[in-house]
Amino acid sequence: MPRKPSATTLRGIGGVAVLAAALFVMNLTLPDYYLRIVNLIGINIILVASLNLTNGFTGIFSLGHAGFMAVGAYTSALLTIAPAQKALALPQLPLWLAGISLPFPAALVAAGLLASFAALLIGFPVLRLRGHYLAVATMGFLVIIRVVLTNAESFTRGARGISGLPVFTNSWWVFGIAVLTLYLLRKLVTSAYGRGMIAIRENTVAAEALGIPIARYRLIAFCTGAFFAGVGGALLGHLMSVISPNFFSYSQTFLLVEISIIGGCGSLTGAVVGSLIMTLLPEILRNFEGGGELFGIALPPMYGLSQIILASLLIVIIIFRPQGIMGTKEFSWSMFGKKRELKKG
Amino acid sequence: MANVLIVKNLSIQFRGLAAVSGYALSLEKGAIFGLIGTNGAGKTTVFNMLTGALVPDSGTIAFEGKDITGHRPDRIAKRGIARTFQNLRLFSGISVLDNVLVGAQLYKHYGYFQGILGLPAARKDEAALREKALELLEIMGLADFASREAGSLPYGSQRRLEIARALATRPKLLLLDEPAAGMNPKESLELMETISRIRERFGVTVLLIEHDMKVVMNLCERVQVLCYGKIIAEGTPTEIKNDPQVVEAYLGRSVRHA
Ligand SMILES: Nc1ncnc2c1ncn2[C@@H]1O[C@H](COP(=O)(O)OP(=O)(O)O)[C@@H](O)[C@H]1O
Ligand SMILES: [Mg+2]
Repeated sequence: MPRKPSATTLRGIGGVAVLAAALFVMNLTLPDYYLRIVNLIGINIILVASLNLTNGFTGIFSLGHAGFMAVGAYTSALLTIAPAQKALALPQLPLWLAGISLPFPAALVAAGLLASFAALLIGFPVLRLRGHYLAVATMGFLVIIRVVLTNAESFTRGARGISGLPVFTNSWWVFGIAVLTLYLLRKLVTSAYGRGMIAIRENTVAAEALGIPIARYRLIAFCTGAFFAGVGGALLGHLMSVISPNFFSYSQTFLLVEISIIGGCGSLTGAVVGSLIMTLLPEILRNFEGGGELFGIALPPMYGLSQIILASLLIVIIIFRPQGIMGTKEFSWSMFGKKRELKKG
Repeated sequence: MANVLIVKNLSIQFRGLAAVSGYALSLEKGAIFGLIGTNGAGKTTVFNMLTGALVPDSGTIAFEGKDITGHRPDRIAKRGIARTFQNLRLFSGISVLDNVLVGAQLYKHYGYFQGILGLPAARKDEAALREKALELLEIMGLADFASREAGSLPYGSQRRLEIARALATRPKLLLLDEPAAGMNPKESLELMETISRIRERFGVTVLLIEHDMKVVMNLCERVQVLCYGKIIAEGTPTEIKNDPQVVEAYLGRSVRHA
């Protein structure tokens, strides 16, 4: 028995080593355009895994994720842009903020913390709601964030957005943080806290009768999810170097919800599988939209094809596999040895 | 002997309909006490009020000398009242062991950051909780099912799992809502033995709602009869069996099944 965790640890280290090698090769060989897609996969993994903590594990159907991303992205932007540049672009910034220029990791942590704090503020009133009401209320949060970002011009330049964020994000940051996110969330969901959250999802009345403080656990899940959403939003900002209120709107939230549902919202592995498929597939399909040749057959241009195919995929999955590809299952090495075990029993 | 629970004048209405009125109860420590009555008599509603799932319109509930009327369910559970549900409420998508672990987590000693970082303190604590949970599964005869999905268990075992899960909170008072419902005679006989054993082993006081008169007569030292939300009789099983009012209101019909 005591050997088992060390085997798991070794496999984990092996997995990280393989990932690192793959990233190394990709950084050498892939053109920028493709590297960007690889980075988007990693950022989506961070965002969807953290969304799954609330929506899948705890059963709080939140649509506010893009709002937390925005808080993170703007926080990190204001903390990292060089003072000289701020003086030009954001002349009205208060002095303490105008002079600040933090290293990237510190800004990422601040982004996560501030997003968490936003979650704490809206979580108190909103998390007592159930089901659809909760979803609608979290959408209200998106609206508020957008209005604030658009009107707090001295901090955000309003609808014009902020440009010139330092391009710190690279695949090492992205996948380093993605692996860390998955590790931490995995630890959380297998701890007593995660079990409590799952219990709330499975049967709220029973969970409460067994002594789980429902409101507190929901808030913990919400704030934890928001933390990683804030970090993910900041990574995205420092990848694109431009952020605006428009970018963090419904469509961003719905993209994440879609990935979450397709991958399986009750699973961290589902976040990985979903992010891979849903980031790669649109890019692949887009190549065929302009027409071309496939296996010697000439294809006419079909604009919008990728969106139609993705939407159809979502519908098909909802109908035939509503729990998503992974359901609530996680990847494990014993998956491959399972048949033997079944025979025994 | 000390009274664990003292309930006075408990009443609740649903849309003007008095579901329970003037309910009173004194539970001696270590007793197995039966609550019987026809369907809709208000038995489950009494449990709901005792555990904080419903807030009574009036009356008081004192547990171990402290007023808990209208307290939150999780607070009441923490004080030491656990329950099972008439219509099972298992966490059916997770393992049998995890179900019990949810009940056990009142006794975790590690915090959020220790948990999310997977620190040794959390791991050690988890191992201890797990051991206790497995012990409970053993006692309830569910050890072989530990890694099975709770929802996939046979019905009788699901009922046992609800009891195991409730016991994991280390209650001083255990409320069982029709624990033998849907069980065959052999299963319900085993259950009776288990409940007696639980009382001996954990020193827990048991309040039991049950339809199966055999179970009630064999297990309970005292019985209360509820009819349309009111107590119509209280006494030893023998006294209850011979109470003309009870026979007319309740036993007359169900004695055939027993
Ligand atoms: N939450 C509720 N809302 C409305 N009516 C309820 C509620 N709970 C119970 N009742 C009603 O109260 C009465 C007593 O129900 P219950 O306590 O479940 O009876 P028993 O457990 O004795 O069969 C029934 O008429 C039932 O319909
Ligand atoms: Mg009932």
